[in-house]
This record gives sequence, C-alpha cells and structure tokens, in this order.
Amino acid sequence: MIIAIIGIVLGIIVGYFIPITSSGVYSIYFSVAILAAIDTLFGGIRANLEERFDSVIFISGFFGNSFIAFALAYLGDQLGVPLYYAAVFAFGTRLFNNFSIIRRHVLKRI
Amino acid sequence: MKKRESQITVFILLLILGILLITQYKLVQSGNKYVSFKDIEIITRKIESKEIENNILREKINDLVKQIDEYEVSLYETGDIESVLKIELEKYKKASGIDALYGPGVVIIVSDGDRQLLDNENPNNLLVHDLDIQALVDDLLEAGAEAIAINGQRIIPHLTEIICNGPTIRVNEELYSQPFIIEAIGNRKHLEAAVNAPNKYGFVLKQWGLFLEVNTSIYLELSGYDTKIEYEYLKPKEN
Repeated sequence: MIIAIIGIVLGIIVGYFIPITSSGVYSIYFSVAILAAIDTLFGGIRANLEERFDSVIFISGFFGNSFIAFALAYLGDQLGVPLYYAAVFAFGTRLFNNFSIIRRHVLKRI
Repeated sequence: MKKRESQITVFILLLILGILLITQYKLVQSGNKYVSFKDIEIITRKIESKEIENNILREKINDLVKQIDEYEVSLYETGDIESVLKIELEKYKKASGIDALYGPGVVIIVSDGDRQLLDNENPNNLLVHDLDIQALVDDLLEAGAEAIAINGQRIIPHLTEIICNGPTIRVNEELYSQPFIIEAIGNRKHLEAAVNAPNKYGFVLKQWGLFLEVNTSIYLELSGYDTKIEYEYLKPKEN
C-alpha cells in the first residue's frame, strides 16, 4: 500500500517536471486510458485484500484495458459514434463496484 | 520473493499512471480542448478556402499597385496622367461595346424550317424563337466570343434584350424578322464548334428542322452599341 502511494506520488512529480505534453487531439484517448488504468488499480487493490493478487493479471489488465479503451475511442471517432462512452460507462461502473467491495473488506478488518 | 515482485510491478504501473494523470491534467489546464477529426477536417477546409480568397485579394492588390505605379510614372515623365487615362478609356470602350470593332469570327444564319409538319405537330417546332437566339448567343459567349451582333445590333449582355415580338424579334429596341444573322468575333474554330458540336443548341435546332448555317470569316465588322444607355435606378455608391 505504501509502495503504491509512493509510486503514484513519484509519478505525478516526475510527470510534472518532464516536458511531456500530448497533443489536444489525443486528449480523449488519454482520458479513457487513464480511466481504464484507475479501474485496474482498484481491481488490484480489491484482489490484494482478497489475497488473490496476481501481478501478471494486474499488468495485462492495466495495459489491455487501456488499449481497448483507446481503441474504442479511436473507432468511435472514425465512425462518428462516441464509443468512448462505452468505456467510460463500463470502467466507471466497475470502479464503483470495486470500491464498494474494498470498503466492505476494510470495514470488516476494522 | 513473490510479494517483492508484485510490489515492484505495482510501483512501476502506478508511476506510469501518475505520469499519465499529470500529463492529462496539464493538457486540460492549458486550455486545449478535444477536437474530433471531423472538426479538424472542416476547419482545414475553411482555412484552405480563406487562403484562396486571400490569394485572389492579393492579386487584386498587386493589380491596383501596378496601376498606381503606372499613373506615377506617367506623372513623373510627362507631368500629367492624361495618356494613361486615354489608354484606359480605350480599354473600357472595347469592353463596353460602344466602339465599332473588327476581327475574325463566325456568321450564323437562322430562319424557320421549311419541312412538312408531321400530323398534329406543333408549328412552333419549326419557328425561330427569341429563346433560341438567346441560347445561341449564350453558347457563343461560353465559347469565348468577344463581341456578338444580331442583324447588326451589338449585343451587350446586361443591356440588350432579345424579346419575342410576334413573328419578329426585338433586339436593342429594334424589330427584326428572319433570317436572323448572328455575327460573333472570336476564335473561329471554337465558335463554329459552339454551334455545330453535338448537343450544342445550334445542333439541336438543326435536328428539329430549322434552317441554320454557320460560316467562318476572317474579317467581320461589328458596329458599336448605339442605343441610348440610361439608368433610372442605379446610383453610384460613394465611399
């Protein structure tokens, strides 16, 4: 848990100081990819609490979900259908689900 | 060992997530907005058309600058700009059609057809109408005719009327009966083709059975437009 917090804080600091800026065109892709990553993160925390965390599944979920969200947004752009809504909706729902389960686990422990 | 490994992966992935987050945050804060490919295309097209417009305007500016230069050179050399204005006047006279001109071109003779009418056929099919003449004139203009006259009356597209008047046609307030002789100055080959080529109006008229003949000529003389030019409603705009 501490490692995770250190990681994200370090990432934010590094990202703030290195001069990476993405073009505005890809803003929507980045945002769905980030959402997918956050979803995977919550999934990972939940799995950790249930003591069935597997780093391979975590890594593949992190990149796979991001990639699919990215691809959906791109496809939607090409077809003129805002398909990234699907990604936002699915990941958002699951995120809350995972969060509620995490909450229960944590409360049970206390 | 397993635990340590997973801790490292979690650390690295969260590092990436943090970088992604802050990149996106910076992007949103910078005021850049999401623009779809469609919008980009539309805006690109808009820019392109504006650029073309700009080029046209730039050309106009160049022309005007050149004109001013001409005036200035003339003023410097001879002390007045009369000579330049005279040359300009000649140019506009030519364009307006007031002056008599000559040049190579074609002569078209049109008159009513003389074939037998079919059963129940409308006799209008064999008559020359004002619209036919107008269409022939349009075809000639399209083919690059520089000056056109009907039965000696000079055609100025925005002044000349070609109106049906019973068996006659009124051109520049004068009545003419057939045959109608259309003279046009321009590239002889092009003008001839503009009448004779398949699907051109002259060709169609001939197929209906009207009499239509096209001759090319290396020397045609057209008189100037001599009807009074008067505008009742037009007023020059003052800047």
